[in-house]
Amino acid sequence: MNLALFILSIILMIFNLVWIISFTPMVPDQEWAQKIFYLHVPLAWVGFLSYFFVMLSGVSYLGSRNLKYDRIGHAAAEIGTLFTGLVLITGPIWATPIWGQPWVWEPRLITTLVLFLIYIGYFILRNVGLYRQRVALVCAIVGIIAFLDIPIIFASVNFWAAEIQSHPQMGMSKQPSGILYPFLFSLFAFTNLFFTMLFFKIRVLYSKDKKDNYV
Amino acid sequence: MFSYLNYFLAALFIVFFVIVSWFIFNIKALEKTD
Repeated sequence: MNLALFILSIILMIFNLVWIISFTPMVPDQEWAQKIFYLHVPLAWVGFLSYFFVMLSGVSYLGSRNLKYDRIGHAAAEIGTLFTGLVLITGPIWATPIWGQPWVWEPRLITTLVLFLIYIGYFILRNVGLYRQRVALVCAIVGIIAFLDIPIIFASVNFWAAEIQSHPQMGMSKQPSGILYPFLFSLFAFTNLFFTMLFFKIRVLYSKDKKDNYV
Repeated sequence: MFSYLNYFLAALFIVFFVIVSWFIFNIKALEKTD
C-alpha cells in the first residue's frame, strides 16, 4: 500500500468529519439529516469516477490485451460497486425522515439501482469459471457498455417529466458558501480515498495474478 | 437541535464500517498471496 497516500486519506477524512459535524450550518427542517448529503454526494461522485476508470481500462485492454488493464478495471469496478452500494444505503437513510419513505420509484434512483445491478452481474461474470484472458475480455466489454448508464443517471433529472421527479433539483452553485466549501472538501477527501483504495486493490490483484502465474 | 441526529450517525457508521472492513479484508487477502 502506498503508505503516504493512506495516511493522507486518514488525515483528510478526520478533518472532513470534524468540519461536517462541527462547522457546517444546520439547514432548517432537515437539520442533521441534511449532513448526510456531505457523505452521499461524494460517494456517488467516487462511484461514477470508478466506473469511468473501468470503461477506460476496458478500452485499453481491448487495444493491448495486457492483463494490467484488466486488474485496473477490476479494482475500480469493486470500489465503484462498494461506493454505489453505500449511495443506495445512505440515500434511503436520508429519505426516511425527509420524504417520509425510504424509496420512491423515480428516474435517478432507478437508474442508479440499475447501474448497481449491472455491476453485480459484472462480478458474477468474473466468477463463472472462464479462463483468465476470456474473463478479462468479457469484463472489458461489459465495463464499456455499463458506463453508458452514467450519462443517463446525470440526465435523468431533466430527461423525464418533472412531475415524476422527487430528487433535489437545486444546482450546487446556488448553495451558500457555508455548505459549498465543506461539500467541495468532502469531494476532495473521498476522491483521495478512492485513489488510495484503487492503488491498494491493484497491488492485491497483481499479487494474486503473480501467485497464479499470470504475470 | 439534535433532530434526525440518529439518521446521520447511522449513515456515518455504515459508510465507515464498510470502508474499514474493505481495507481489513484486502490486507488479509494480500497477506495470503504476498
